[in-house]
Amino acid sequence: MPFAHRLTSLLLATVITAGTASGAVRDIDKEKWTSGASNGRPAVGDEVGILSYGSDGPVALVTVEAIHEDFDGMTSDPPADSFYVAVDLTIENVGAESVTYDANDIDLVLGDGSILFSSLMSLPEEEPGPLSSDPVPAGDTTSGRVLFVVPDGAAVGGVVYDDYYNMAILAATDDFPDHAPGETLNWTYQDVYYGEEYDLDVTITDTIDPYDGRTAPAGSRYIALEFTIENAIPDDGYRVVTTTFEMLVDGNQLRGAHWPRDD
Amino acid sequence: MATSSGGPIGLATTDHDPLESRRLRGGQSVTGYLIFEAPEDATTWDLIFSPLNGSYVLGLGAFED
Repeated sequence: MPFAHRLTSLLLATVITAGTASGAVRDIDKEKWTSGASNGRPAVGDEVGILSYGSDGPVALVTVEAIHEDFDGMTSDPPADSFYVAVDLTIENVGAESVTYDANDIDLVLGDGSILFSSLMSLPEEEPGPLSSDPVPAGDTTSGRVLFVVPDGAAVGGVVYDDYYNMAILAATDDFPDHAPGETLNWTYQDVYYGEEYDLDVTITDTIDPYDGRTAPAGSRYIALEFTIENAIPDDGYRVVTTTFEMLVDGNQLRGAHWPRDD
Repeated sequence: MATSSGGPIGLATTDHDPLESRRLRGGQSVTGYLIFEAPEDATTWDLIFSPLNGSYVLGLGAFED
């Protein structure tokens, strides 16, 4: 999630109530979450481990309890040419320290692959209420709802966790975007800061798995993917293609792109 | 366990050029490799691609030889 969006969200955040339940820290099988044993994408109702930098396992388990398409629990109609989607989540702190999550950490995946940020509109306080941004102490569980304003005609492909540095797929629907390596994908979007339109053709043109040009850490392997990105805009204007934020995510874990240093 | 995405430092190999940020005119393209750290036994993948201001999911499923 872009920093500016997160900052704006923080500034505009309203006070919301906590729905936190206390309890002892659950003794989970961390190997289950660190080995990638759960292949395939999680579905509604599955627990997904959320890692923290330096942790030896998940610090929280997040479950998407429900995805309410055409959510009708708001007091106002959705903006023109859009509809509401609400996502109910449960977050269990299974680490040793407090964790803090909020609606800014939850995004919606649409069927075309684009990721939609949560809405800043205030949700009603009725159960489960909006997802609280209050810290969740170790061993506690919190539940809450996150709202999205979705363009008409868009399909809901799933829900992702996104804390700017890490991402994880929390739940996928039948409309989750599926593509094969070698297939060229076209992405068009408009830069919100400079107004420039982008039109990129992105293709994975080679896969090296495992990539043995480097020694991977224990329990891990490297995968090298060759990308070809073309500026498909027919005019002669320049567009900057950045490669900073690609992440490869397995079905139930989050992994960042890795650029080994020349050590 | 490394979970940070880090920065685009580039590959220290001579056989695979890293994918680098680039200014492209219409019709121009850039090609290069990125290395990802993955769990040893995981077999299915999705790619999160975040060009500038937006994020997109490239749902890859399982890689095939």
